[in-house]
Amino acid sequence: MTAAELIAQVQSQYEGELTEAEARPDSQAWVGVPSVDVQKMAQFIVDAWGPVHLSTITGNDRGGHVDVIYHFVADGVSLNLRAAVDKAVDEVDTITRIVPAAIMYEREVQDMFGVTIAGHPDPRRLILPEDWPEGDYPLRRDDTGAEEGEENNG
Amino acid sequence: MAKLSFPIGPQHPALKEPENLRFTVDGELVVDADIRIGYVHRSIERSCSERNYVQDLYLCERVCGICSNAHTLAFCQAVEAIVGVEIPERAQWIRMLMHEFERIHSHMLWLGVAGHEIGFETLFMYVWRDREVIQDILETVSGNRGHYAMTMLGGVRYDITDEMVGKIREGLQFLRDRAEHYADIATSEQTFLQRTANVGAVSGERCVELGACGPVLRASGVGYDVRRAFPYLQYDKVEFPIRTSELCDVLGRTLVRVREVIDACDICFQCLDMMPEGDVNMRFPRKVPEGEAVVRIEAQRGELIYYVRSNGTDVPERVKIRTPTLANLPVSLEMVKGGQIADIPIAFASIDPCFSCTDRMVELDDVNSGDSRTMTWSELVKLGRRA
Repeated sequence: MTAAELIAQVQSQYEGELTEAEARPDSQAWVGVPSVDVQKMAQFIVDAWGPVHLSTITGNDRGGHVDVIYHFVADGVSLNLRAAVDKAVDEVDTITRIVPAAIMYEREVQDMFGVTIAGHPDPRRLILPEDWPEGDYPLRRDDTGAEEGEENNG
Repeated sequence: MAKLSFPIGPQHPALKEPENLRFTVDGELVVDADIRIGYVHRSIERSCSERNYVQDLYLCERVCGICSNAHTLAFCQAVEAIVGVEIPERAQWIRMLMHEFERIHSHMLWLGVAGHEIGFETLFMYVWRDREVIQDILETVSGNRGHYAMTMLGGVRYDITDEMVGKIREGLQFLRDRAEHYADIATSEQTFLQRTANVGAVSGERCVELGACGPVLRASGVGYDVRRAFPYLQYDKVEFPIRTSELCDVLGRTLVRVREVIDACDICFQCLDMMPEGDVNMRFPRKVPEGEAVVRIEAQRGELIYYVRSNGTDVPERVKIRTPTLANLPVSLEMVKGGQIADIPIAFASIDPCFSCTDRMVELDDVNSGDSRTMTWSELVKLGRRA
């Protein structure tokens, strides 16, 4: 299957809003959904192409929202699913029950970006230490690093 | 008998990702395992978005000491994809050669470590002696035994001269013969078979579900190899088999890796034959236009994925790295469940997380009575060798 065919299948069969659907020249398929529809889209992907491979989940602070990008391999195509999570909401549903491989990656996004993964079966911290201050997310752009008076060896 | 829960770590013997492992055991049987990572988080991703692309290249090289070339390769492929340039063909072939050299050195390093973990020190000594040959080749080509700094934006730093080619061919032929010998040992030596067959077993379906990759996935019978699934560089021009095994255990993972050494030698021979003359690098812009790219490559430990987003300046907006070890961690927990305590070291080593044998504190804690006794990692390894 090619990226263009995959995009066509998503456009014809997926019932819901798509914020983005593009087959790029480098044979990457990019699909975007509103952040509330992530579970629905993940279910659609698994139903359509079987047990897909989830490579990782990327978070990216874009100012007003956090881009959460799920990098799948579906039927031999690199499928990237993007959900823009508004910072006022700061929450996205877990897909771990649909795609078990997401378990670590979702915890990583929750740790580093402060996007709550609603319904995650194991929402403990993955990377940050237990005594890390609440509400301080290292990969958010408004995070300025060490406070004044703290030692910063960076 | 009461169930015991004990931790290994936080200084887990993994070089790039130390972990805290907690095992629940019933007698000698492991019934549950849990993992906690992040103890040497170096904030490389954040640092990447505060430095320019050339500085990031050096930073990415230092994500891992064993697969340093794989990281620079993935980073360069991603940035070059955003800029939309094609690097000179000779440079692509040289990148492939470096990629396969690194696979050979890493798999041989792993085989030695695996021998060490099961107390087969002879294997460890011989494999690491032979590994010096590929280290010499890497040094000849790049000037370094590690952190080769060979891949650069727009190509590779050094050319491979005719004098080098003779030495490379000779070395690779030696390594290929030795790898065949080690494949024989792995399938016939009782000492090895008894410690690896049916140890750390995990099914192919479970591997796919949990997102495993690389030799771990292939050793459970799933033929996913990025070099074939998403060909990069010139991999669509060379012939190589995808090595899989239906054994699903440590023995299967060993066989896949040893056979991949043989294949890597064959790929290198093809590269040397097919490499055209020409430039090995090109001028590369300092500023990268706005865009994003996802790049997967088959590093020696498995699928390595980079996501790079640029914003038109000379500093990337976001660099996301997912190393193969993270993908293989969930499945490594499955491997030890249901096995013996003594098999923990080799089962974990079988995902190739850079085991070192520094002393580790292991506390065997009786959750019911509150009694605890302490074992060091070396004592646990000794227990592993007695079994």
